[in-house]
Amino acid sequence: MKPKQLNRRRQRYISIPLLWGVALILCISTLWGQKFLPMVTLDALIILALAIISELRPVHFERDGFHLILSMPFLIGLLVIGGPIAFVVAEASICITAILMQYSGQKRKMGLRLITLNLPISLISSCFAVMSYSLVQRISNSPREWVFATVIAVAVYEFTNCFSVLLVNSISRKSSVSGEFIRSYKTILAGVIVLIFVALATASLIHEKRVVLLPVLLAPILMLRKLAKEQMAIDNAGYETMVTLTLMLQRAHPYSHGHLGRVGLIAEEVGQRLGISHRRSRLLREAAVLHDIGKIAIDEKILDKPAKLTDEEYEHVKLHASYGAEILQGSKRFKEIVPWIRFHHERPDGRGYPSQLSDIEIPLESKIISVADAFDAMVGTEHEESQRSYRVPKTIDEGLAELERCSGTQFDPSVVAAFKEVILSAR
Amino acid sequence: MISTLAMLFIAKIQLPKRKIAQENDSLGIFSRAIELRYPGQRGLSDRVVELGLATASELKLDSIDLRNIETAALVRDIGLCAVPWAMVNYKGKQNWTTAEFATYDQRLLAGAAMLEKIPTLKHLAPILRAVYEICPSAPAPITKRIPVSSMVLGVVERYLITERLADASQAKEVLAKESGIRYDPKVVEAFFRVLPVHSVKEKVEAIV
Repeated sequence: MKPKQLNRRRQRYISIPLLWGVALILCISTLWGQKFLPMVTLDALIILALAIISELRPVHFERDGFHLILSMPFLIGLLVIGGPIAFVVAEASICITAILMQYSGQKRKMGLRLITLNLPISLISSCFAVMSYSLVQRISNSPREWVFATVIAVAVYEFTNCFSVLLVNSISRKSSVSGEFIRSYKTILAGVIVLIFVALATASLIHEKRVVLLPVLLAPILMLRKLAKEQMAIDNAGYETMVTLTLMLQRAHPYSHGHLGRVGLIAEEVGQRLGISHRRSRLLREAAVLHDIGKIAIDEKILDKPAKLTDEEYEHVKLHASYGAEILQGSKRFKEIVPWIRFHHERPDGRGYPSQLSDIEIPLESKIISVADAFDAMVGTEHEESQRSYRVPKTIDEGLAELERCSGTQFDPSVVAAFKEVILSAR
Repeated sequence: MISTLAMLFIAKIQLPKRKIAQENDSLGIFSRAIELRYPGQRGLSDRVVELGLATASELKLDSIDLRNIETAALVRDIGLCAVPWAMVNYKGKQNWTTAEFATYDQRLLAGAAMLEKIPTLKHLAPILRAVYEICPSAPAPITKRIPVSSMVLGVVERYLITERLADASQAKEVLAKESGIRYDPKVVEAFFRVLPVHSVKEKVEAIV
């Protein structure tokens, strides 16, 4: 895995110096005193070529913030025949070459930035792989010690690499490493298992002096690549549906520009502060982004009316909560968040809509969306399109004061308290 | 070897099924959203899909074109969010002015612009733009070749909208008149061949 640019400032001042420091220390301690074997044999060149081919077109997991790299099984072969220095140098060279090939022309600057982030991670992972390979060889007395050494080296490389990327992502996103892991564990584990098998096959062919057969092992690598791309397309489909729905809403109601995204971000943070699991807080964010989707079916003239609404008009607007649930309820992907959207205008005092639920009947997620939605509607941003036509925006302090005033009646007190903490800690 | 075969099975059979199920899930969501905004459009997309696929099969189009027609038929109205709610829900198409029909047709361009931002759906944007080119309210005469998927959708939609405003015979007359001018004659003929079968089915279902 290689992390992409998520938050430049955090990466530049925290992650990158940390990574380079660790990488330098590890390289010196691992490689000091090792022999550098010349890599001009045919076997080495075949392995190097296969590693480059595997790395030429990595799979980008844009939203998760990493690329899947596939050259490791062949680089293990270089560790076997060329030694640690050859392995680390080859890994570093392929990392740089692959990034520069992807980011050419106008994107060259971005490519160079990615190298400052990805190269130390590659070096750290390679050094740990070398250390584990050497350790297993030293302590194992088995005639097939290369099998254990290969498995351990690949597993250590991949998990060190994954952990480093997830750590960088968690620093960038201000989330926990475990949260980042939960987002991506399926992809990581499936990939590591296949790569271990291919690495074993590589090491086996090298030991049996049948290096010319190594190109056959490109088949599982390319198949893994195809699988990862297909899985990514499926994972992205839900996200793309959300984007399409929000685009439809923004065409009908331009003031929603920015509102949905902000409510989503705040709701997720408040949910985490209230102890909701990572998985549920991800779903909460989706529900918060889609909470007003029912307004697609509401007359925009009424929604944007600057004067007070008539009773009939207000009844029409209130339908948006049920409409939002109706739009999503046939969907397997979103079925869990349907009730959170349906009830996001319910109130603890039982005077909400559409069902006048009592406090304990209202899902916590709906309560969180209700607070985040109300606050953003009051405060919004300076962006003209997102300002409501019927009210002057309040300041943050005024918005928080209003939430406090309605705590216990319109809003859940514990949610208001958590929300205040989130807002004040972000200032 | 075994892992490669397992991955091949997953990549060629299991994942494509899941991908299509996921796409259909999403397309269902968009259809529901549009039908809630404009209840008068209820059922129209399903008819466009049915007749569009029947016409495309009659023309012996390949599976990629068939899938494109099906998905384009279901997403073609997402641009309706740019059409004023009151115009469609209060006024009704039979009372629209020429300018209002033009606004309605512009939904195809609005929809195409939205689809451009969605990686897995952006290939449908040129299809919708081409359907707009053969709309009655399109400003310029047709000078370029229209993709067959767009032509099928344009013919089917023109028929169904005219049928709802007037009746089936007038809808057929309009297509026959515009065949060779606005619409490809082969597509119109293929549509006329499949129409009786699908109109009978509809009547039987309505009675039952």
